[in-house]
Amino acid sequence: MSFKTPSILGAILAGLTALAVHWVHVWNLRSASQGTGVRLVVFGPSSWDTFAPGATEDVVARVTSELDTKFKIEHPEVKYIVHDARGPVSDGLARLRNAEVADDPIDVIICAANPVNTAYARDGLIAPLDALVTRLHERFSPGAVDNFTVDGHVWAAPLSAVNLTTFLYNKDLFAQIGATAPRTYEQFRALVPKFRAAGIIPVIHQGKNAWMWLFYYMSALTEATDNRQILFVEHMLEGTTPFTDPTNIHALRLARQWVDDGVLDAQSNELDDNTMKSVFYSGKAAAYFGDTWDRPGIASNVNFKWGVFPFPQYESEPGHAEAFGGVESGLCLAATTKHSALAQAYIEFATRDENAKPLLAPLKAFATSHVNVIQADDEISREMRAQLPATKFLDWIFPPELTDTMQREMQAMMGLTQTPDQTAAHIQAEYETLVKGGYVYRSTQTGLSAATQ
Amino acid sequence: MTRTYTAYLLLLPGMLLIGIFLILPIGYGFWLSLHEFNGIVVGRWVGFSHYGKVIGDVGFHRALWHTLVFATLVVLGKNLVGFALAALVSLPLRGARSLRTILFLPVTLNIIVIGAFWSYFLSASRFGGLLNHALSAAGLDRLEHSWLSTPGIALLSVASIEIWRWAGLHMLIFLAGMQTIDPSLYAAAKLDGANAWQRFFHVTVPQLRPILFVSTLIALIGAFVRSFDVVWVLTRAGFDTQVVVTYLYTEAFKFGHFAEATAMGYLLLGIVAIFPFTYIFWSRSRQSNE
Amino acid sequence: MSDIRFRGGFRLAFGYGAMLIAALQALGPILWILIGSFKSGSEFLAHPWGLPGKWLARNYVDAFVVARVGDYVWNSVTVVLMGLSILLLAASTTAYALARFQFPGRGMATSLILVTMMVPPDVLTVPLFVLLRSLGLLGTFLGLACLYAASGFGVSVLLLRGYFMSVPREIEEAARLDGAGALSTLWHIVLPMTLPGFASVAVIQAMAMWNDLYLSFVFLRDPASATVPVGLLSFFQRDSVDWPRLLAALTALTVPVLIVYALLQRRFVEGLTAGAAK
Repeated sequence: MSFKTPSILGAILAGLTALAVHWVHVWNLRSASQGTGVRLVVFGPSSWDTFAPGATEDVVARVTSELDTKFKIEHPEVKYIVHDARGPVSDGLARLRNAEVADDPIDVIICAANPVNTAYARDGLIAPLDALVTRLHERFSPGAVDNFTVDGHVWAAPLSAVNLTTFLYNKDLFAQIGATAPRTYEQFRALVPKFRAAGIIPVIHQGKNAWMWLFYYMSALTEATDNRQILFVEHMLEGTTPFTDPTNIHALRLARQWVDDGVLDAQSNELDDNTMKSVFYSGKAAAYFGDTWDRPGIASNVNFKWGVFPFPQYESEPGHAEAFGGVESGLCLAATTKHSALAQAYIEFATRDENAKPLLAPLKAFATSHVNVIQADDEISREMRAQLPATKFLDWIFPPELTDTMQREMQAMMGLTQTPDQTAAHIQAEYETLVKGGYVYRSTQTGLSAATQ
Repeated sequence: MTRTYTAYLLLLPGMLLIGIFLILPIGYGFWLSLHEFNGIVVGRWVGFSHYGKVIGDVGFHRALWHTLVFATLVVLGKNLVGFALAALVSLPLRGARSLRTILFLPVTLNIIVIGAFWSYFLSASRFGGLLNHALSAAGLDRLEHSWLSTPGIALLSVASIEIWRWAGLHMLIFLAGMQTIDPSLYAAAKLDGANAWQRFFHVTVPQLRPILFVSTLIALIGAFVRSFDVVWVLTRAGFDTQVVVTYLYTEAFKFGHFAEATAMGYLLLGIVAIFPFTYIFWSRSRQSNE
Repeated sequence: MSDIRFRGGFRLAFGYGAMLIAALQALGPILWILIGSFKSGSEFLAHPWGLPGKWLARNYVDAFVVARVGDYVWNSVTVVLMGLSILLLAASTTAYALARFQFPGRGMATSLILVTMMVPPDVLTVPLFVLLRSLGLLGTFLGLACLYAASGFGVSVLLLRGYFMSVPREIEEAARLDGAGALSTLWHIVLPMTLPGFASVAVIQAMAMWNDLYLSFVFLRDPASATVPVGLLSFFQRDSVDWPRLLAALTALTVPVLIVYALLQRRFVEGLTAGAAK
């Protein structure tokens, strides 16, 4: 009872302290967004959505602040430019959605081509930029603007390196068995006994990330359809061709062959990106099918000679292999921006050749979104350039529910728990469920046919 | 001041807290699940059609089955292992006290690190997986498996890792319960001539019954409702480990079907609620029968 | 159980053996993290097991300097302290009422608390968003602290109620006869007698709040307000993680928490058994 008074006083004091901390914090937040002059926010849904992604943090900070300084000179009414890019790639869409729902001030969005195609444009998170980009179109490489064209509108100004799917391989290990990069699948298959004898795993894959399995399917489908894969996919989505069509099953079988023939490790499903890279970097596996965005990581982590080669040619198939990808990132206009004119001015400014160059230089890319930005000139870069132009990732065309199903079914198939026929049947079943739920295919391609609505 | 009035006053801070920050959002969420909702714009009223859709969804059935299997294993495991550990560290052995701190360590680990460690540890021996490597070194090649990527086994592995992760927490719960048992009960039992084992079974265990109920409830809720992290980081919900919460997440955040996902969440709530409420009714009716 | 005598070396060996196994299974990952935190990025990926060729303390420096982990710690400490205070206050009073009082609506209150524990957090993202925004608490530490307190409330109440119920009623009756009110009884008698339980609940909830990534990622809008788990996300660049640096940051952050926990262990849990012997 004698402790009552001090206890109550203590509680009140604690409460007041908490409130004080709260008020100071809120005041800090508010004052950051006040003052005279405009405050532009450049938003990155994930930590990858920055200028010069993949370069070290200090380089990113430097090129960003240099750009901003120059912009503020040209537009003195802009007082602050804030960059906010955080979080993993898989949470990017949710983060952007939350920010717009919360009415956070967002003006420019550094956006990746995949989500622009699959979500941002159709969900109303960004505003079309047809007028601006058409005016500037000479700056951009062929195909760059295409990657951001959805439903006949342009949704971003391209600004990024070009990345393509490719095989990455350990030259030393190949040399060990007396081989060089295989040109055809059959050549690769013939190397398997030699790899086995030397105790080397020929090919591994980050199978745990189901989404990466589609690379094999897309590459096989390209060759199986004589390079008319986009049209073929559109037919399947329109319903005129079933997913159980022999050509499609054939493509799945071609992908599955890698495992059946022992070229691709049958337990690749255990590996995610980190564990797979561990196996590759430590010299236990000779190659993997990935993307050029892995280049900086490999360069800084391995001490063997390495290189790239395109997806091999199946001797039996009419088409030739194509690399998927292209320009993968650009600048979008937020749908909820309150400074549309200034935001568009920023986008225009950043994509000027003289400003884009320092933003793209740290990437040492073999090709970029800009025609006039100088490209790297080493052997690997030249080999990659030879594979241009790139073709669109097919999962930009599929609806996300179907993509998810296809990824999981392929994962199961390549893990040897189901046959290609079953895989195709499951995908067809999911497609039919979607159609029953009201799905109608709308082409994202300009000029190509779309299902009637 | 009557007892009832005092009780209501005591309840006030807590009820205010969950009233504003839980019950209100739950109610609003339920209201949202009765409309078309894509995460940003609320559409028209659709009544319970989302619920019907979820109930008829084969993917949901599969996820629910996995969740039930997972939850059974995890609840049993967490309680058994937690209790065993609590008993172990109560023994008068040297180092038992330090062991208490050590056994709590897995609870403090970041889920990403847990995922990384176990992914490396359980991978094939040629990928550097220690477990498989040890098995083959001991001549037990046939026991080598793809622990995290074989349908069927993967779910068991994830459940085991989840048990491993939280055993220290349940050990703590049981320990604290054991410490608050009135020592005079032990003294009385000793006077009656009971040895250590008899004291354990006739004093410790019965006294811990309310703690056991709470521990089970916590384990149950953790397994049904909060298992997203552990599943996602170990298998990305593939290889037949898709549980309801990961399925829900995919529907909401990958496909944008927020309303269906919310309906799924409330259906899950209904299912989980069956367990404790059945127990409460059963024990109440037992009490009234005595 | 202090009078258990281990007859024969076999039982003793069994006891120590079990302890050893238990310790190893808990320590294994910790050692892996510790050793990994001293490797370089490439060495870690190439050789995840095994000792580092060179022990690099650089990762720890980098974690604090480059990744500014220190800033995040300050934010985390603030939020956790705020959340813990709110939680413990609300949970103790509620648990005490449910443990020792009979009143109409008691069953309903318990059911309500149970039900709120069972809602998957993902489902509440949007409603909580809207709620915090209308309250003006979106992006604030106080708002996040309240969310933490609310999400840990159910478990804490259940646990505390269990511990409170095991306090002998006679002592409370005696206090009541002496004229003590409910709060006094709670503060002076019940809590001291259930200190191990109370401390356990506090530690468990503090751990959960400290490690929470989901809520803080969604509801703290300003990068400068980021808590530790959110800040650690910056170690993830697309598909390549700077593991050793991440592990160093995690080690540096978990160690103080463990020290506090170990101290609490000794102080409160040991203290009670000493008191009981009197």
